[in-house]
Amino acid sequence: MKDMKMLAEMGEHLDGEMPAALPRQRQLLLEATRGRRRRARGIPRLRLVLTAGVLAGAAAAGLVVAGTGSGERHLTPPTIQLDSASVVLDKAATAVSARSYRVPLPRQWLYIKTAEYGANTAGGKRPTFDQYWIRFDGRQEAVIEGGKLVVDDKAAGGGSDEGTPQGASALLRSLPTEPQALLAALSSKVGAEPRGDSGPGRDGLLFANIVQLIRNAPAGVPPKIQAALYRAIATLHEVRVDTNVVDGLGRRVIGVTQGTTGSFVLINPQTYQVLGMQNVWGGHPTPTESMLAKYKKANLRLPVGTVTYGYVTVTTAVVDHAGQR
Amino acid sequence: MIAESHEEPEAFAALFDRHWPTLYRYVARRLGREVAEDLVGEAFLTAFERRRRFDSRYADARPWLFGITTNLISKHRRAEGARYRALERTGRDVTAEGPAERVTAAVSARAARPALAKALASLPARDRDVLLLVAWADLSYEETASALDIPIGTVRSRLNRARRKVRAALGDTNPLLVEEAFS
Repeated sequence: MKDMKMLAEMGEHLDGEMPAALPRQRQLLLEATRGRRRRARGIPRLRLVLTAGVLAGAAAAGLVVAGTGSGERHLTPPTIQLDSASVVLDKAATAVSARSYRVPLPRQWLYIKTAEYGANTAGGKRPTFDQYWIRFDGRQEAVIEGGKLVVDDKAAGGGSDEGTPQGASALLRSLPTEPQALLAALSSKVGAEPRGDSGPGRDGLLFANIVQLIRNAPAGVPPKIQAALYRAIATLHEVRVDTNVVDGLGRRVIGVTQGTTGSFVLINPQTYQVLGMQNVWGGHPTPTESMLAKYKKANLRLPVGTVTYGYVTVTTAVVDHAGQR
Repeated sequence: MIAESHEEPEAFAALFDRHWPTLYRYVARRLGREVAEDLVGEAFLTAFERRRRFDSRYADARPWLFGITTNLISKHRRAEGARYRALERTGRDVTAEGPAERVTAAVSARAARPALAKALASLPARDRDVLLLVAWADLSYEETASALDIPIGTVRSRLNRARRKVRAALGDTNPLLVEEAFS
């Protein structure tokens, strides 16, 4: 840990510093937020309010249901093909529950190749690939550096067990296989207690946690658990599915999103395994983004639908030795 | 607190009071004091605009705020690299001119600064973000994963890769086992 200690000491002289700019920054924030509250009250902002149930009918009619801050409803032409979340996710659950699954041995390795892409990354549309091996028990990792396979036996330490493939797998196997019981268990775990009618907030938290649970398990999710997770997602508010998403590698995938974050979980349409996620530009800049754009610190000229950030798995394999693929 | 801020933006000020100093120090380490003041202000304005997204993603505001801040830092990559290279050449941190620095900074740490700065400058941005969120922002692996929207395994992988380079820069020549050559 000497390296982390020395690194932490760089700039630690700032720890006790309370800059003179603090009161001014606080005042600026207050002024800005007050101004925006007044504007927000004066001009209802268009906001998509979609639920899985509404979408089934809307998609059948070729329409997207949108809501406004004033509670009015309008019908607007669709820009993406929407599908019933419950139908697609039930199909995915049925498919994954039928597959075989074996927990890797602690000393087996996982080979993982990933790609990162998007307008907000250094490579832009061109994906940046990365590959590494991690032992299932998380005790060692390996990468190729300078043409050589380098095994790091100092990989252990730091982070919880859930951060290792074995820990993530054990956590998943401890969960209930019935969707509602699973949601109750996860609600308890993440502290997402229902708050009156604020369903989307609670459901958003559950959605994000389910997705992270799956993404943290590169060795795969036990079939019954994965099926329950998919069926649980289908019961959450404001879940949307788009079966015509293309990821940064040109693969046609299923996109699942919740709420209005523009963040899509990507699912392989053949295997129904989670591939990763990507964020999509919705074309509605916040006032801050508009302000930043004046200083060329934000690009608002992106076409609607542009992927701003994506991170997907290209390959995952269980192997006996680091270096095998 | 975030939920209150949906209706009462002033409540957001409480979030500012709690987290601004931490974010400021983090950015000051990476980009210097002057940039830090403006950038953290931008981060909070951005956070305010996106506050409706908050409670649907995280139970704690810290990873969320650091995620926004990291995105803003990414627009200053060139300046950050230049800063590390200057530190590598001179061994002198331009933010370290106050009396506190003279008292707290250990001689060994100061001596290692050029090597550390060189290592930081050489890291890919994605690895440096993970390393510094853990080392300087004191985020856990889980919090770093939330902030950057990546799996925990990727946090571990990027952190280990970055630490190998830092250890090598510090003269640790035996942290690794080189198994075989690859073409």
